[in-house]
Amino acid sequence: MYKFLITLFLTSLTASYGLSAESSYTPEFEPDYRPEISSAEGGFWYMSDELEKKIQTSPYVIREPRLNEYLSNLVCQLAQDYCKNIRVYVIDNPLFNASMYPNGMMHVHSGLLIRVENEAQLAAVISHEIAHYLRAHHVKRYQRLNKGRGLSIIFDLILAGSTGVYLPLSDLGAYADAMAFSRKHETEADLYGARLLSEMNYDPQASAELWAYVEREREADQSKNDRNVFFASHPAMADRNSILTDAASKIKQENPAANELGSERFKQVISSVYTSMMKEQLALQEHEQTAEVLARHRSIGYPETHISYFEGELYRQRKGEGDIENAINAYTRSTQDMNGPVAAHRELGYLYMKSKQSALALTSFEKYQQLAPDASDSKMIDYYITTLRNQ
Amino acid sequence: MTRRILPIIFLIFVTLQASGCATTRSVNQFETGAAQVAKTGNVLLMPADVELYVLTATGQLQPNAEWTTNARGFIDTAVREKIASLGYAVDAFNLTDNAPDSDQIQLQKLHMAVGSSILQHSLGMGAQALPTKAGGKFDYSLGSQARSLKLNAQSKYGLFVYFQDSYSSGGRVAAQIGLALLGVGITGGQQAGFASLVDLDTGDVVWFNFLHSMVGDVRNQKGADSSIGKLLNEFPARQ
Repeated sequence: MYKFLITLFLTSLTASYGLSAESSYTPEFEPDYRPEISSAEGGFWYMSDELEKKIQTSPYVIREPRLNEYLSNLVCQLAQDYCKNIRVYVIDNPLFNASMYPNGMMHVHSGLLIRVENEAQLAAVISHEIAHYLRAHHVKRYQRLNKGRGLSIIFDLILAGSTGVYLPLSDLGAYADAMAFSRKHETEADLYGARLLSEMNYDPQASAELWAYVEREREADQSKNDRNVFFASHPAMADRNSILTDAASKIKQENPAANELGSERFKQVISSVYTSMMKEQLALQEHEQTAEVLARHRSIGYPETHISYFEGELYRQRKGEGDIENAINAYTRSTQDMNGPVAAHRELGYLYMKSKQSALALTSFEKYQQLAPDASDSKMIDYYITTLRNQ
Repeated sequence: MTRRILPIIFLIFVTLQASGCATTRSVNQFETGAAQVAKTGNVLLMPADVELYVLTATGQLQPNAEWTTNARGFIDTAVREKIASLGYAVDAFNLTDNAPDSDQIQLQKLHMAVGSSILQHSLGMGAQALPTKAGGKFDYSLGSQARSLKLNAQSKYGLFVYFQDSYSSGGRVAAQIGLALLGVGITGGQQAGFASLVDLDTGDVVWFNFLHSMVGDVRNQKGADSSIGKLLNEFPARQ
């Protein structure tokens, strides 16, 4: 059931896009609304509440106070009267996404935070999600799913009985239907979101700029082996961008003050959690995408020592021609001041050892040991130091 | 992920034995001599995991919050009374540490995984049997860390209960009758649940029972007493 809910809501940012521009900008319900507990919608809320309880004790939530406070404030501004009804959670997931649940729970992936360039772009995505919430799109989609899913679930059941394996094919069918039904919703959320955004004087063009970047990163990915449903379902990206750009210029004519980007504020906050958020991106082993992300970070102006560290990680994992040397250079750059990750010294130690530069390896391990005496791998490092000294 | 498994097993049982009325399958380590029933000690009731659904005409399970909330209370009362009638003192679990890495939370998650594995690999369904559990070997355990669930020195066992129930909507009943006229049988609402008793000193699962039933109704206290009576029918009495 939870997987089903999650599949359903991953479509919130990721569903394909329609051309219809008819939209409504009025919330479907008053602040503090709760459905009848005995209704179908009440059951849906209940499942979302249960999921939220699990999220609250999940190890995949990033709880860094400064980041969370920053996001809550941003959500609060954009949601206005609905501020206290929306709760935001940062999920440690490197795939680009954000999602909204009917009960007011919002998920923001770390993969979104490492890709947006400024506060306006982040606010654009958050406004889009708030618009889904205010228009109760999830509830409408759920009701639709309940109608359309019947026959295929019986097929699943027959298959389960004959093979002992339950293949939820009906989920796929339902998924396709939800995608089609949501085109209208996506347009509505984009346009309603752009309004919410400009009411707080953020630049409504930010949204189109973010999508353009996402498309660029996608182009750079040579494997095209996407794990993110987002990339698999976006034939109409160009259409989406032209609608957003048109809407943005119209809004800017009405409200010339809507030009704020909030770049510096955003950079300060993300810099403070940068290392923890980038780790999972590297773990994806999507080298071209990571290179795009890092290039973007350099233009945003995140601390050079941190960017260099992850460049080192990228080269070390990629193992292409000359990558040992590339990695050594990048890690060395990341040790230029004391603010970079101390692990760079350890990685340098290993790489120097591999390339038979024992003296440099010894210095690097000693430096690591000195900076991180209580690290979990300290015994291992002791062993290497002893071995290298005795050579 | 583990949340997904019980409904799957549930579906397989339903399809394979759609004519059955109520079945239970249990493992009793006390009977085999693998464990000794304690002469002293309390049973710690873990929060029951309960979900009630409407089964719509199209076969969709729609969660019902009101039924679920009420049934949780009924089931809790029914379990408590049943266990007390077998001679045990009953303690209620009290979450004192809700940090994500707290043992109290981690052990509940672990139990969900272990319980689902037991259903999947050790109770019937030959295709899913594991080579490491050949010959009915039953050595599932949460590990000695289970000790951190103990409220006090008297806590001897932890009892975990999972219960899922569904009820046909009006439309579903109509579909059942309509398709039956065409010679096609589709199922109405049904219950599935399991109860698992863990020795809190060793973490070992010492008693386990799975219930699947086409009848029963936990939306009232009487129905809950009856369903829980079946689920805990062979629960070992205190010596």
